[in-house]
Amino acid sequence: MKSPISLKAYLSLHFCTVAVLPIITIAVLVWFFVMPAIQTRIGIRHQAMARSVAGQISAHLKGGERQLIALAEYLQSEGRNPEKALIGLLDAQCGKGELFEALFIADNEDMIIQTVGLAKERRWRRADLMGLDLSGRKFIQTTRALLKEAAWSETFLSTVGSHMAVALIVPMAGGFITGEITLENLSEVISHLPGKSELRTLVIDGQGMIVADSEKLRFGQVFNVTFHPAEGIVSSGSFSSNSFELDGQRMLGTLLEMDDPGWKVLVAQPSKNVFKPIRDTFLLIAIGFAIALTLAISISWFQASNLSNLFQAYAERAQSIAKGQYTLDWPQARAREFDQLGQGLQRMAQQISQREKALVENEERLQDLVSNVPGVVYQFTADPNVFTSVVRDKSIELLGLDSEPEKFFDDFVACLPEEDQPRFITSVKEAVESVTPWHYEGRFIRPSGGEIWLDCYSIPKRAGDKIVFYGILTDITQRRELESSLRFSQFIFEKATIAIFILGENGEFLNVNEEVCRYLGYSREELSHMTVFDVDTVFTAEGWGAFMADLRSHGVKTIETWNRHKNGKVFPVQVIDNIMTFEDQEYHVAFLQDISERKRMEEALKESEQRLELALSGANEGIWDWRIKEDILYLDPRYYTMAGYLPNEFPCAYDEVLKRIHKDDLERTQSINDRYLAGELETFEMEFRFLRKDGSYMWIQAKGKIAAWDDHGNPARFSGTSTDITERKATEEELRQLRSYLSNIIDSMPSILVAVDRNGKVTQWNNQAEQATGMRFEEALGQSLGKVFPRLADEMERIMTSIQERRVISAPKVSRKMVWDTRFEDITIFPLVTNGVEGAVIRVDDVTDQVRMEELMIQSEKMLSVGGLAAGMAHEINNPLAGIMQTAEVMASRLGTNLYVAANEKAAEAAGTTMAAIEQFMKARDIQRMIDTITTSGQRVADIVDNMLSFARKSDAMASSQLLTELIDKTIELAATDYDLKKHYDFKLIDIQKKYAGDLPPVPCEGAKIQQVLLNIFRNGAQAMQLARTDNPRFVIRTWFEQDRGMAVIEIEDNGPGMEEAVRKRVFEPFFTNKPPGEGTGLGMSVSYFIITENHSGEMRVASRPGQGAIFTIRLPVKRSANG
Amino acid sequence: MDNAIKTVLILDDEKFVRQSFADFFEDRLWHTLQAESAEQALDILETASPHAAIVDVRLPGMNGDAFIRRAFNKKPKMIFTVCTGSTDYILPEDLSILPTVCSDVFFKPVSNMAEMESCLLRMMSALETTED
Repeated sequence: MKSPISLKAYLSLHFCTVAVLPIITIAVLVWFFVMPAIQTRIGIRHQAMARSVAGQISAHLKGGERQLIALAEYLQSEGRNPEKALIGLLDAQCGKGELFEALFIADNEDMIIQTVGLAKERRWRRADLMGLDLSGRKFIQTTRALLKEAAWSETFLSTVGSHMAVALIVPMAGGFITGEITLENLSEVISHLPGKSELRTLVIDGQGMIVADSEKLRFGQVFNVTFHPAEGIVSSGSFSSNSFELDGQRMLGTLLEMDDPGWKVLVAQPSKNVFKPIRDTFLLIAIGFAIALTLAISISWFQASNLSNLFQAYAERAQSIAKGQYTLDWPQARAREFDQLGQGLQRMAQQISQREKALVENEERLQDLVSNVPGVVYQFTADPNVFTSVVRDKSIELLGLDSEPEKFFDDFVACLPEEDQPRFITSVKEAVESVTPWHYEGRFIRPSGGEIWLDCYSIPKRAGDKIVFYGILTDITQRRELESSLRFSQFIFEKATIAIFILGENGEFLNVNEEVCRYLGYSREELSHMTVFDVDTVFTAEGWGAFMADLRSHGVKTIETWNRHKNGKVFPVQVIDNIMTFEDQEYHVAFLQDISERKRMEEALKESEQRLELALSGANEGIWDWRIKEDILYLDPRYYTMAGYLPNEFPCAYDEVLKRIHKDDLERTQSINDRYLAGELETFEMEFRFLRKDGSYMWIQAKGKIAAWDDHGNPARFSGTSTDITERKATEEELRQLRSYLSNIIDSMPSILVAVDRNGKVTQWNNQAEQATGMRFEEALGQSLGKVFPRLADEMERIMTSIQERRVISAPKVSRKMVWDTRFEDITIFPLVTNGVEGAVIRVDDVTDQVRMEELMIQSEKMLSVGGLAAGMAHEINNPLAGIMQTAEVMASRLGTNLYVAANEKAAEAAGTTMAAIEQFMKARDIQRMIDTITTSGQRVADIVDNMLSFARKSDAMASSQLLTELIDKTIELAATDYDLKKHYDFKLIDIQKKYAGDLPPVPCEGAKIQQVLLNIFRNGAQAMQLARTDNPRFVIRTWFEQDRGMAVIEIEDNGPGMEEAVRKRVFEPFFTNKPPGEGTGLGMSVSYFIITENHSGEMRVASRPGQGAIFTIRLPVKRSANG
Repeated sequence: MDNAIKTVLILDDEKFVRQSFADFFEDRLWHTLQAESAEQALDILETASPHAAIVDVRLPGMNGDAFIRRAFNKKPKMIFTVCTGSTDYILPEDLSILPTVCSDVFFKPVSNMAEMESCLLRMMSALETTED
């Protein structure tokens, strides 16, 4: 058999075949079906093209024909004259844009050209052509002979332009007209025909001459191509397609015959171009297929090699399995079948491996079993008496016997003690004969010496006709030793000098030793029917469960209880109860001891301790006793324990105690000690800090007394107690802190706080009180209130009332005169009635600012209400006032002679008097003064109304930045002139001192209003000084800037009479005046106040005392506030 | 300046005020016409052509401002001066720009009526000058 090709090659070959087949099929189909179809379609397209060209040319030529016929007809009808006009007519139809190149008219007879029409550029040749004989032209003859309407000539060389041309002849009466058309012209026509560029169009005349060429190359040439007409008759309108050669180029063309003038149209295209798209397409397809094929082969090659590798891999692994390698790395398979194949093979390998392993394990296990049995395993064939198999290793280990199986029996028997040999052999014989299991126990002496106990056991099994014993020899030496020790233990249990009980779950005695019987007086037999509750006076069956549960959780429990002897005597016992677990079995074992003696001793000890306890009174007190001379110090245990030490933890010595005293207290402690012992101190009592074991200090109070004196009268023994007073000290400290905290609170109060007892003696006095009186609390303490705080002296009565009636008494806004000022204080008295301490606390609050604020607010309110009232009534008052004052004015003018009024004279005359007489009367009766009074009074009313209106709030005040000093200067000037006139008081006599600060910023305000305010102050001041006849009257004007409040300040001080407090307080009130009645409206100052405070958000104050002048202070904000 | 006798219309609802103005101006050789309401004053203007008018603002019915607007349309050369008891009165802008309305407002009580007369005369002569 031929060796098979590889899978790779096989698969590749098939892939290729599959890829090539469609290519061949497509190629065949294209060649036989598509190509002819394409050729036919191109023929049809060419034919259509040719028809179109033929049509165009026909139309063109027909157009020429019609033109010439029309010309002929025209000439016939019009005659040929005049000659010149005729030439013009002909010329017009030749040349550029026209069909014809030249037109000739000739007569019939001699065919001489009589008239010539020429294209413009050829007209110079007209003379040459005239008279030319055309008879040589054959086609003319023919045409004439045929007497056709029009005829086309063959191609000829034109006499006019030496061009190839055709001519059209149209006969007319007595002659004919002929027009020449150059072929160039025709070519021009067809070259403009629409068509693809690669299409070539030729027009061929009947003689095979090319008349027109779309490429304008070949006209005039003979179309020398052998063109085989298509099968069938070449008739008018018929066509044929074929391929031919033109200028060495293969062409595919279609020839079409035209009707007239017997020409043919050829439309051709290079074959190359025709089939180019198809060729290109084929080329592309071929390349595509080639690529696809290459790819297909590569892929198939690659795939096939993958597949082949996979198969190879499986084959290799299958071989590995055969070789016994089971754990294999299986190749990753992408196909399900391969995956299944892989898995199947893997499963197979696993199963084989498992089975093999199980076999090996079984064998090993068996081996292991046999070799690890604690004994010598053997196989013994009964007849002949031969060991067929003995585990040799074990034999050496156990028996020290290394014999062949055949000799083993004899060697074994030799090692038995001689006295045992007959018993052994007999037992073997018996077993073999009766075929029964064999058992033997006895000593064995190893060949190396050393005796062991052996246990031999075997079972017979019949195998065919043979009987085989399978047996084992076991070393039981240890077991035999154990049994012996167990017996010894039992003996000890029995003879133990402590009573041992083994108890059951319900307290029944399971086992007891002899000591128990002795203790309780019962026999063992009696006890086996008894329970714990029969002998114990404390335990009950009910409490047993709880006791057992507790015991189980602890394992061991030592209790003391009482037991009763058979003779009825009850005695104390100590029982140690145990839960013991032996071989998974729980045993309750109790060890019991009579403790009657011990109990008695304990009682005695306790009693003595209690007595000591009683001796030491108090819980935290320790006793010390010091023999001074010997320096032996006794400290009782409590001394240690109260400081957290164990009794006697530090040595009982004076130095050790000193070591533990706080270093700040040490010197003092020693000093007191020494001084007392020296007799300087009456008693010994001191407090000091003592170091506790945990590192903190405790406070100890020590009290002591010299207990004994020596012969020389020196102290010999010094003893006393030490008490823990740490807690008391802490409480004291807390109290002290609380007191200081409270006193801090009281001190930080803004009020003056003074506490007094019921006798009016000061008990408390805070910082404010110290400041107010200048007296320290320590000085004031215990003093009478009236003495240390004189201004509260008047309050004593009220304080007493408050204490007695136990109620709070308040005295608001009590005024107090100071040198410059009046302060206001709220005085409140609170009775103190806590814990029997009777007394009172007096609180004094300075409320001056608050009172001032309230005053100002009231002031503002008053003004605003006045303003509101004024706004409402101004109109109502002004009208009647106008009636009064204006009438008074007219009245004055009618009664006076100051002004000449014609009607006055007239009226006087009519009344029989004169104006002079009337004036005299008026003067005599003081009428003029009265009228003046009316006018002045009226003017005052008007002024009042006007001033009152100022109080109305104006939000749209016209404010601008003003320099206050300028305003002041202007106002001073104004005041000077004003007063000069009205009051006959020279303002210039007043000394004006200006102390302006340089840094005053401009202030946003209404200049006129501020001036009004200033003027008011100057006027009032000047007036007051005038009235009081002040010597050297003066104004001191100061300005400065209060940076922190952003306020500009003007201060105007006079040295006038000043004012009483009552006046000062009311000076800004509306309608308040201290001027004599009839002077001033009483509104000036209040208006000023209003302007400053309400309209400018400023402040206005006055400070004054009688006889000491007055100071007006105005503060204006430098920045305008939001509400303007 | 024309020295012929001039006529002044006094419009005020307060009889005594009106009369005091009338007395004053008559003494100074003016013809006076009196009206206690704007409506009455307008009626008077139908038949008479005073040279000037003293106009109160707060009136029953039509107020003084409205009167001046109407009267100005009728008598474009008539001089008007406002005299009011309302201290917060401000001449409306449309009136203040009229050439025949006195820009100074007189507040009652008018302490110096001679000033009012001279104001009227000044206005009248100023108007004549511009016409020339």
